[in-house]
Amino acid sequence: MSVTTEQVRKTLARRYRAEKRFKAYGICAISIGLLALLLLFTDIIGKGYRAFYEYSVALQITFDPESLEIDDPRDLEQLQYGNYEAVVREALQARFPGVEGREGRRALAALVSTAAGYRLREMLENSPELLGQTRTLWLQLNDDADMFLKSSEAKRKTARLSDQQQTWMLELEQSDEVRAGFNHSLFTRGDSREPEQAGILGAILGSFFTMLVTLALSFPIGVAAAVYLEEFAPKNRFTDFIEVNINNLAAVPSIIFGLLGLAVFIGLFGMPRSVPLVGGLVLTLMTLPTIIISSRAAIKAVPPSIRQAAMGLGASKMQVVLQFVLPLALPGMLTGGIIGMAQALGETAPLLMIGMVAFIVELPAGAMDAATVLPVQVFLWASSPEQSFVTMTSAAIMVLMTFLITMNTLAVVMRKRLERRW
Amino acid sequence: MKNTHKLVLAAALALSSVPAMARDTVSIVGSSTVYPFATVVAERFGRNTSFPTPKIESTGSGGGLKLFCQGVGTQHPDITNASRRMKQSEFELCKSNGVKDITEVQIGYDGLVVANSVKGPDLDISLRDLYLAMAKDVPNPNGTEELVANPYKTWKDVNPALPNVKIEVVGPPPTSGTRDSFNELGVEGGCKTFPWLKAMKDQDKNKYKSVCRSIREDGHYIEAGENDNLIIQKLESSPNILGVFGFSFLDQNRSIVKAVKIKGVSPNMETVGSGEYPMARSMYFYVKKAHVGVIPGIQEYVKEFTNDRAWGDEGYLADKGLIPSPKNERMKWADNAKSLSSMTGKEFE
Amino acid sequence: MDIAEKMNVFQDAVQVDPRVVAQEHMMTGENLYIPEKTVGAPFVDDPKMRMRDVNVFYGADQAIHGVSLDIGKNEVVALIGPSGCGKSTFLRCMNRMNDTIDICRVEGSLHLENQDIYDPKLDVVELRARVGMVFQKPNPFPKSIYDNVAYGPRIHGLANRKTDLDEIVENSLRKAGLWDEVKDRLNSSALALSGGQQQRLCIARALSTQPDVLLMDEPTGSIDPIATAKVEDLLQELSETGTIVIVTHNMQQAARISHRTAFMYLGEAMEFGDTNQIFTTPRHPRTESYITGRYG
Repeated sequence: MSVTTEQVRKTLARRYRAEKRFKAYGICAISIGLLALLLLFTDIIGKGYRAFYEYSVALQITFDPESLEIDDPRDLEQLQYGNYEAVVREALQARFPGVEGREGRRALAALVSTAAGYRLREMLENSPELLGQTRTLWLQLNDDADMFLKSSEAKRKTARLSDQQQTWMLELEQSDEVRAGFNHSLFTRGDSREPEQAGILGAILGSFFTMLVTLALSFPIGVAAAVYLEEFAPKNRFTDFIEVNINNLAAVPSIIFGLLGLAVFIGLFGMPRSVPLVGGLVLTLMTLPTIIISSRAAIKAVPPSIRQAAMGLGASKMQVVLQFVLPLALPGMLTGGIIGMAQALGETAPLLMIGMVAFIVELPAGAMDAATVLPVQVFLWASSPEQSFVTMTSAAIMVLMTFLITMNTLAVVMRKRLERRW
Repeated sequence: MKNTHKLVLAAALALSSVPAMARDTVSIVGSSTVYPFATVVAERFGRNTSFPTPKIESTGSGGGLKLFCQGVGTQHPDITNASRRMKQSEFELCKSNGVKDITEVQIGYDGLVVANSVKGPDLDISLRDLYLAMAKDVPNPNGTEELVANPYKTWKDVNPALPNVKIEVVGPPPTSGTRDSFNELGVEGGCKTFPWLKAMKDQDKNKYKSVCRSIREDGHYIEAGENDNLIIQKLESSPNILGVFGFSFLDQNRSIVKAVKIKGVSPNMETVGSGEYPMARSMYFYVKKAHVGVIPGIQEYVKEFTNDRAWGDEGYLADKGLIPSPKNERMKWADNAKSLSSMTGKEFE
Repeated sequence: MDIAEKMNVFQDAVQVDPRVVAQEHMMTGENLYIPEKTVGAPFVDDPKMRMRDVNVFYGADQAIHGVSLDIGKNEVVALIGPSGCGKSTFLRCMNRMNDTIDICRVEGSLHLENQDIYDPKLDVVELRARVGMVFQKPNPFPKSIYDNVAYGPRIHGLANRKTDLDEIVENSLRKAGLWDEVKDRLNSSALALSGGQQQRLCIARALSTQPDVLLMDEPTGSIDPIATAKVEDLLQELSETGTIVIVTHNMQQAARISHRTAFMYLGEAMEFGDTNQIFTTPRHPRTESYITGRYG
């Protein structure tokens, strides 16, 4: 055994131990990350899953013309101002006879959502022959009553219903007059002040239109800028200056772009407030540096041998770029684009300045209608006092995260599939 | 490439000279305290009429008035909500930008409550106690008329009748209108009970304001951000902490928090409406007369808001925590709104 | 490549300090004779390409010093020399591929038949259709075999109808000796071929525009011996009807396939003559040192 071997043996144990420690640190770090992720999902899903279903109560509704104050069901004005609440109240009082006093009657009426009234109006509008008839209908419950049924025994004691209201609800529950169904309004309606009627469709459409504008503008401009900078720009100080500035733009806080949007797009160009077009323009400015930087990296990764081969055959610079460089760099550019979009989807701050943080009930029909976006909806609901909005906030977060995870997964899958080995 | 350059230039010029685009939805900005009420009215209005639902942004009272006073035109808001009255400086700003005819409407009251968890003790404090517990500088405890940095650590230090619990209050940050109201109604209210401090108001107004409206920064007052839900959550987890927020949040969360009595008075509809409960503030909205008739629905929205079924004692806004003004006042404001009478500028005297 | 890399390549060329060589000669007592002009017969009558006083600079550093020689018609010329002596740089002057390097500057006169290659009025795209190039590492396009070969004719508009294009593709592949192996899978990816096949595809691709001159930069440098043999056979056939300039590190290859050989050293053309003569009785001492393996 040589001297070297002896010395090596002495330190060998220590080296292996150091290696094991390093591995352990790595595993620790990943575990912490995964744990955080697990906590996040557990918390959000735990709070949010209850928003996806809702309770309705079965009531015998009589479309009494006297109570409704409607004699002609085809008269639109009468329909609009009909007293549907009275009809619902009557049905409830028929179910729970003997309720005395104004307070008591109000408490009883408060169990059913105001959506019921609108639904009855819709039914009457579509089928005027209903006037005077009686039907058994499943009507949506008010958010407090809905929350009560969704809560556990312990939580029910501290619910926002009075003892009397709780007794009624328990009675309805025991005789199966309430049932749970999928919460359609969550995905078919826009924002509302009543939690049981609030939905995220408005925000989803707003996000969709905003993303559309952002993609349509930032991708072509970003790719073109990257191609120019990589292929055609002369290598001088001015080009370096541009490069430095583009990299710096990527680090600018996003709210600055919002201020820019307010001053230039709304102030100077006079575009309307709160529309996805302006939101898309602002987010384009924000995403552009990301797309330019990732596109440049993709272009740089195209091996020079392909360029040389094409040029050797007599392809012009333009042909080399369009027919070889771009198609080969495209997977990388698309990945960068998707990641940029995913980033933009979750932005709130810049949109705050241009007015997209607002209570908007109507669903937007295009990029020029006032709209809000998903993360903003989350923010607005989180600030509302009603307890049911806590559940709705978590549900909206779940939808937003689904979109983000899908987009990022798509980016990863695309990158894997389109990667070429040189 | 020259042709492309020309094209780009032409497009840029065309874009910049586009006139402000037409709008058919009422645009409202302003206070985050009025927001929960305005949005309910807006939604009802949108559902029950053929007008589109007005768009409402929560920008804060100050921010809203600033936007409102930028000028007349479809890119500027039609109505602004405020949890305090418009200031003279804001009125001047409006005038200088061409916003001359403004209609003021008082909506009702919002109570400012101090609350703790339902699991905590039932407290009854006076405004003086609140001032001594919360202010940055307080009168020297030995009785001389000088100011010292706030030395009180527990509620018992401030008032022996109160429990021996560390002073910890969670409340809104300086950017919030609620904080302004707390400073004015709560802290200043207690400050004024010291005659020599009250006299300072006439001698040195600025010093008076800085003494009577400054909140301590040594950790006993914790700023919780603009989201009142977070304050409620904090109270839920710590029974000894107190929180400051608007009445509507108390109303919606009575299973979690309860109000601290101020001088024996509990905040509710009656006590706030009558003025018995000392920490109440008025809420307003302001209408730009120049936009009426140009943007459809403004007058009809105002009519919906000033109707008793909205802001009356049995109205749907009361269900949401609004404390209605007395009936005769309501009628006065409703008339004001209906006739769109403009502010004269004398309101600030 | 940036200037630093180029400098490295350049410096690699100086593997042996000339002073050491001089000393060696002195120790053996031989007289050291370093002529100033290219030894041998660098010029021919009626050449295909004529190069006079070519100097190439990378920034401030000169890579090629005053090289003058002719490439004759229908002959294979081999350029040999140690690493970094400027063979590839000189080759790339002939189809102006050096234009793609920003800091590279070419001086001197280069003519393809009677056309000045560096005439500003000449479109370089047109030049490259007449002077084709094959690179050391096979670089087929990530397209089908058919599209690889069809690319040149397509962009230069050499075939109007599909049948014409098919014909060109088949001819080129036959000339490259690849037709029989790929005729059934013309639409499959070119990247699925073996290294040797890919290089022959690149040759077919270069031939598709029917160039007057074919430049080859160490074409068998990275393929296996069996494929190398096939390519060498191919080159012999091609030389019967076309002009080929081939840069090679493999002296035996140069000896096998070229008619004339030029020996380059440190950016100068030291000797240029008949291949047989160069390899049996070299006239320049450096040529002799290189051939006998004293340095590589």
